[in-house]
Amino acid sequence: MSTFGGISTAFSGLQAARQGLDVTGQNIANARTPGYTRQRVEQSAIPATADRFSSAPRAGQGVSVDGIARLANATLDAQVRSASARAGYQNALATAWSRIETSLREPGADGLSAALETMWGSWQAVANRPGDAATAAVLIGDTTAVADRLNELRAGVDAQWAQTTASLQVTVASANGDAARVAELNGAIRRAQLQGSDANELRDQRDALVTDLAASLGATARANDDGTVDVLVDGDALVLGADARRLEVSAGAALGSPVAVTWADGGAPAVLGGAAGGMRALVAPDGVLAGVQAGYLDFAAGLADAVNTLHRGGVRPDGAAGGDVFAIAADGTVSAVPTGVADLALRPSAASGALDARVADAIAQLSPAIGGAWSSLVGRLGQQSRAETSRADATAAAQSNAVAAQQSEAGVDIDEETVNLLGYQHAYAAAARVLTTVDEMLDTLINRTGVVGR
Amino acid sequence: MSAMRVTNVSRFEAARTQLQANAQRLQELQTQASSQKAIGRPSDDPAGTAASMATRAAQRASEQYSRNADDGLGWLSAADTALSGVSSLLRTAGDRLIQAANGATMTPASREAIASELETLRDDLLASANASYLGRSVFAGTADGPAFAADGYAFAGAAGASVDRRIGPTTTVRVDVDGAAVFGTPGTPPVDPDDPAVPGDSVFELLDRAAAAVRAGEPLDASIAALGARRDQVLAVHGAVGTAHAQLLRAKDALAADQLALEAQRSGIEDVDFAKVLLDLETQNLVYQSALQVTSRVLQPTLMEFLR
Repeated sequence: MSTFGGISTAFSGLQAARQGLDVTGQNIANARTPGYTRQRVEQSAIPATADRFSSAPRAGQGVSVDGIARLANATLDAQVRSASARAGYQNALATAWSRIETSLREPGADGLSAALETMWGSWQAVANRPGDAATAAVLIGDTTAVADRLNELRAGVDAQWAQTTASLQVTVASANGDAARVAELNGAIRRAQLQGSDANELRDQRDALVTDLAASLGATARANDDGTVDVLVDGDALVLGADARRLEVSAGAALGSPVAVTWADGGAPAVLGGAAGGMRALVAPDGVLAGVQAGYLDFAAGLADAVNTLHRGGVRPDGAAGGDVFAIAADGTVSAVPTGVADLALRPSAASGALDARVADAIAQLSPAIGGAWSSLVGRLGQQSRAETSRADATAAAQSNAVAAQQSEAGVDIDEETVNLLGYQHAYAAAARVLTTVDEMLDTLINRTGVVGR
Repeated sequence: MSAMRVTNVSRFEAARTQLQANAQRLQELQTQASSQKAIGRPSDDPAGTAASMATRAAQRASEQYSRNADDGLGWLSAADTALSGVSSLLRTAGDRLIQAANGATMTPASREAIASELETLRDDLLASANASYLGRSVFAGTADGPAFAADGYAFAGAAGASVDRRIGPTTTVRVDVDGAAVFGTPGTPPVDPDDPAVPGDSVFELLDRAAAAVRAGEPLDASIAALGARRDQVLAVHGAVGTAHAQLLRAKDALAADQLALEAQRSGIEDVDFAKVLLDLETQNLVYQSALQVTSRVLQPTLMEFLR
């Protein structure tokens, strides 16, 4: 080693310590940055150069900074992505179910069951006072209230379908944007890697976007050797290196019409998971909302059929046979048909007395059967909502565990960084001291040699 | 996972999650305490929801049965009053007939007086027979309008049709009185002028015939016997009305008791146990506050504080 070798050794120490301080500073600065992965300086000792002319032992030549490592764990990242996908899916379902059952307003005074009970009571009141216009008007009002409540429930599901379909479109559009950004970042990372840079911050950004894609589309990721990441949706590539594909949503105008998510290039259907998959499961023609709607329509049809059958068997005050009480339009809208006491067919036959009202009493006796049908529908919806909510809670817990595990690996600990800060500070001071010492040594050699005893 | 590395972020995150869970539980209890409802929506308790809906339906039905019973009591009271009047009118008519039958010394004028009194009694009886409740004749069954025509005494009611009031899912009570059974039906006029008329058992015709017989000074035994039979018939029907009245009153009491029991049942299903919720709320509040305190102590220190 040359006389001045010590200086360069000390200098490499100074540089390494400074680099360490910089990275520690970066970690501390980003302690609360979402998606940030802590970094470490990777350094190694430079060995002594071999000297063919001497076999004397010699020290190494200092330290070299090999790179700045990003302490991410691919397995934990993948766990976070798959847990996020499941949580996104379940959360979409649970939110929808909660809205469905809230719209029932059961049990309580505002629900359909209360409206039904009021109507059955009015039928009995009409049985007590047949031919009374005021009592009949109350019955018709109560019947209209039942029809209105049924229409409200149906319209609520329709509105939910429209909103969920719109959310699905927004989610897929924003996922398309995320995918394009991931492809861009992939390109930037590949270029940076070719130039020898680690591009850690770019990777953080990209991985956060990939996690977003997992939550919104149920996407999975595959790492490539060139630093890029391919993003797959059910095995089909959404992002391949620096290229992104697009997804498209085509939806009809109303509940029951097909909702398709396809690849923009080629039009093949895409199978989604995550939040978009949950929304797709809600709005599909055979999906959750369609099932709930069918339950409402079935119930309305059963109610209308039971009441209409009995009422059609009756005879109106003018001697004509009774008509329908509930009419159901082709679009499912329920309405009350009778407009006055003259439309009520309360007599069991044309021969019975003018004020015979046995038909009204018979209709009022439908209460337990219809009430039971409604209560079992409500019970079924409540049970399903409960199951979906508990599933969503479980997947959310799994997600938060996965994130905790990932953060425990990748997150910044200020205590640890403080220790590193001290370590690098001392290393810097010590390296500076080495430099001073070498300097003094050279000073002695250059300025004081030969002046001993002068 | 004891090997898990603990960082500031994971500590912040864990604290946030725990505090959030505590706050959520606190809010649930607050909602229960302020709304007093244990079941806010079906998924809170699907089985309880079904029970609550069934109980509410039973409550509404029971209230309607009470109203039906009230209506029935009105009918029966009207019939009861009318029948009391009918009995007393028939008794008076019987007295007059016996008076006329015994009076061998009666003058044509006094016979005429009795005959015209009998005709007045017939009119009073007709008025009683057309007694109504809320505009409906209580003796006319399901027919609209008065039970008996003033001219010819034809009965308006349909045979076998009764007015019933429902006081339970399977129980109905007859609240009208068969006018034909009380007052009888008029005879039919002869099809051929030569045939004799078919006599009816109408009490009005009976009094008409009796008045005619009194005027003519004919024997009255048959009329007295027929009137007696009619009075027995009225008493029997009156008894049946009393029985139905008593049945409705009992049903009303039972329904009132049912309503109390149903309300207790509904409250038991839907409403919260306030003492328990209050206690839970206090406990949860304490848990939340201690969690806040512990968190504030745990989150503060880092190594930074101890250097320098």
